[in-house]
Amino acid sequence: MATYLQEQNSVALIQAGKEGDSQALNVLFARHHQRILRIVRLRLNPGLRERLKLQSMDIVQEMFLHALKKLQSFQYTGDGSFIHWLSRIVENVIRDQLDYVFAQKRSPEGECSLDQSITESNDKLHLHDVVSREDTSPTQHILKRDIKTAVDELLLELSEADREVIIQHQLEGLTFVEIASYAGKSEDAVRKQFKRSFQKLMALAEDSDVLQELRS
Amino acid sequence: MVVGTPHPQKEVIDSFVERLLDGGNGLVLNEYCQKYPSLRIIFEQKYDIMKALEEAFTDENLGGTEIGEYLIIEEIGRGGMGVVYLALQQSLGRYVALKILPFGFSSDRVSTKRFRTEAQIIARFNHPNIVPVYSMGEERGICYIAMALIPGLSLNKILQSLKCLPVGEWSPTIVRDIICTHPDFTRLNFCDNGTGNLEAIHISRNPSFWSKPYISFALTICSEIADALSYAHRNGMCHGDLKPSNIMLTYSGVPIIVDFGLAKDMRSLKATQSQEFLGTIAYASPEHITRNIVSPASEVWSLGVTMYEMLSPDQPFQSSDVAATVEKILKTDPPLLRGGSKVFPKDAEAIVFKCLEKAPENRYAQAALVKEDINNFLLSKPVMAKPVGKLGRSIKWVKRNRIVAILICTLMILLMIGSFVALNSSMKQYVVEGDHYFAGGKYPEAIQSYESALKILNVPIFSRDTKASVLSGLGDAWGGVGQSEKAISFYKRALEIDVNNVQALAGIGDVYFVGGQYAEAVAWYNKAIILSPEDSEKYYDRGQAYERQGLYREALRDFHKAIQLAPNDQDTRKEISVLLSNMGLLENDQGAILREEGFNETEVESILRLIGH
Repeated sequence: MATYLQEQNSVALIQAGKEGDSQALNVLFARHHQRILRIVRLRLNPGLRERLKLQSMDIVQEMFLHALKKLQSFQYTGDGSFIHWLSRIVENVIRDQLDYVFAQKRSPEGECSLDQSITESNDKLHLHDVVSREDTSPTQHILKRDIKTAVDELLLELSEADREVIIQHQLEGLTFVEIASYAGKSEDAVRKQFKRSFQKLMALAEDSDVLQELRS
Repeated sequence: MVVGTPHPQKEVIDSFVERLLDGGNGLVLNEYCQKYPSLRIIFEQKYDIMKALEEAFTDENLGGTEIGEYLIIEEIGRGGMGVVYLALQQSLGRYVALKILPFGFSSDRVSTKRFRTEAQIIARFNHPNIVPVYSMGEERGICYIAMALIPGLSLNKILQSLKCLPVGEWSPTIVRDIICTHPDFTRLNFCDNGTGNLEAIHISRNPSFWSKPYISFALTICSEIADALSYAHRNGMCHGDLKPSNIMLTYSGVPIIVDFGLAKDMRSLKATQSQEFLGTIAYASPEHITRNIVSPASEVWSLGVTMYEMLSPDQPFQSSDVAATVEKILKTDPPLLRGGSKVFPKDAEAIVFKCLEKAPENRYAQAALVKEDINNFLLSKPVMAKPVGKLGRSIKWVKRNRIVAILICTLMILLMIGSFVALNSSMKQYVVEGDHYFAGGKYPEAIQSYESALKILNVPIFSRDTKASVLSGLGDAWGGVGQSEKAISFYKRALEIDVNNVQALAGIGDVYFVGGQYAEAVAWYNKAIILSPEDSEKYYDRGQAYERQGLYREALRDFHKAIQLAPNDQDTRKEISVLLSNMGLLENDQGAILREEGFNETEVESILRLIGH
């Protein structure tokens, strides 16, 4: 059965996190880390993306929690806006940290210096306690993960503008109105751009052998 | 093609993709496939790609996501009409089953409007066997519907487990065990004292319910499903996709129908030809498949399929693929429920098969009547449905397969005609042989030939007259070898078949004549003459019988008649001369004698002329 914190909505968890409840932050992490990391990976340049791949999950989680420390500055207006905000913060933190690590020519596995910059909090995180369990069967899960990986590869082939509008609408969950307001464009323009970008993605998907195989 | 002119195919495909991007679902696919059948493969490919991309952008884990006032906790089920989550209604602190409809549903304005209208109707329903709907809504392009959490398991999962056991072991308590130990049920922690820590629907049953025989138990559940359907139909709503996966059975044995009105359009599903569709079509009525008609009668059919599955280890129509399943639904009667067992009650079987009549007008007109008839059965009263017999099934088969039946009948008739022609020819051959032998005085050979003819004549396709005639021939032949008793027995067999068989009547006369019983002979000749008054031979025979009795005048009259009918018959002429001579008359006096015997002048002249005077 769900725990108390799992039954809290994002607003309550964000508020609790702002007040220093580390478990609330863990639950927020559990809910959003997969999607946020996916968004961040898609936004990083290829070099940083490769470096991020080499990081252990613990380091990633710490980067994430470091970003969540900035919650004080966030005003909740909806789940979409929260993911959008968090993904940008996490992206910046990861970018900074990865640059820092590699500037020091440290081994990717040497997490020590990262700790020094991030672990202002002594919260002990229990990743495996809070990561929600998968309901889908192992086979379905692998298939779905592979489809996601294949589609992400295709997204990276698109131009940054095409990729970004798809990320914002499909992964961050922003409405066309929200995207338009962030970009200073009209809703109609954003909607048209999304359709064009998505058609390009479909065209790539049609040519993708990997995707065809996975579907069959 | 003129350079610069857009290819019409490309325009069509682009407009299809545009519709998909606007949230078009299977309905759009079906619409385009019907309109442009040659492009079906391309449309299906685009549709598949769209689905794959949609899948790639959805999270497996919606836990923690808020939709409306509901906070999603975890997934508890997945089906064709969306994914069901355990969710918390935050304002009331109540757990609900939150169904999130498939992506694209909300963008299809027609579907959304229909969904809203129907949700409003269903939300007003108040029936113990229909899931209470708390609310519905749409947020961020996601349509959802909040329903009561049902402490039970879907009927199809129960049946899957039940069918792993021999039918003889099926029982209400086994069903309860299946529910209470299934992971889908135990994970929600319902089972503690029957309440668990989730508040949900709870209707208790009389404890004796669990000790019923399995058939009564299953039919009680079906009767309640029928009652729920009847309630919905009275309120103007059809379910549209009634099947075991849309029926939950609570751990207290109460069936609850879910997903009312969510799947109306078969064509949209058909376009995908998916495994999900196969699961749905196995419960669809013939008119639903062929004409997309959903009506109370079509739901009676779906209920019938569900009942069949609850009572049998088999599914009545489902095959390996959609086409074969459709073929079975449209043309085949399912195997009888009683199978090899005589224990299965015929009335219960009759109820199920009345629900599964191919023509809607032959089914129960309403679900309420199904309920009534099941209750009749449960109370040992006569049921309205008629037991299913072999003849009834054959007639139904003929009605459904008229052309095949006509062809088969024609073929059979042709075969029969062919056989008849062949047999008739052989039979005639034997008769001709028999007659030939008889005429030649070879009576034993004649008997053999006639016997052979008679064997063929035992086939009922030959006329009675022919058989009677051969039997008479046998009588003649046996008479020829002096076996008068055998002869008479054959003649009598001939007369049993044909009371007016002249040959037999005269034949018996002949036997009596030969045996010296002239009066009996005359009596039988009389019968023959009445039936065949123009046959000179019969008058001649009777004349002889009279003559032997000394009845000369009668004899003379018969000979006279015989010679009138056959003037060239020298035997008769001779016989008349002998007769007159035997009467001791002088030639000159013949006329006077004849006059004395009562012959009139014309007759006297005629006789005298005939005998040469």
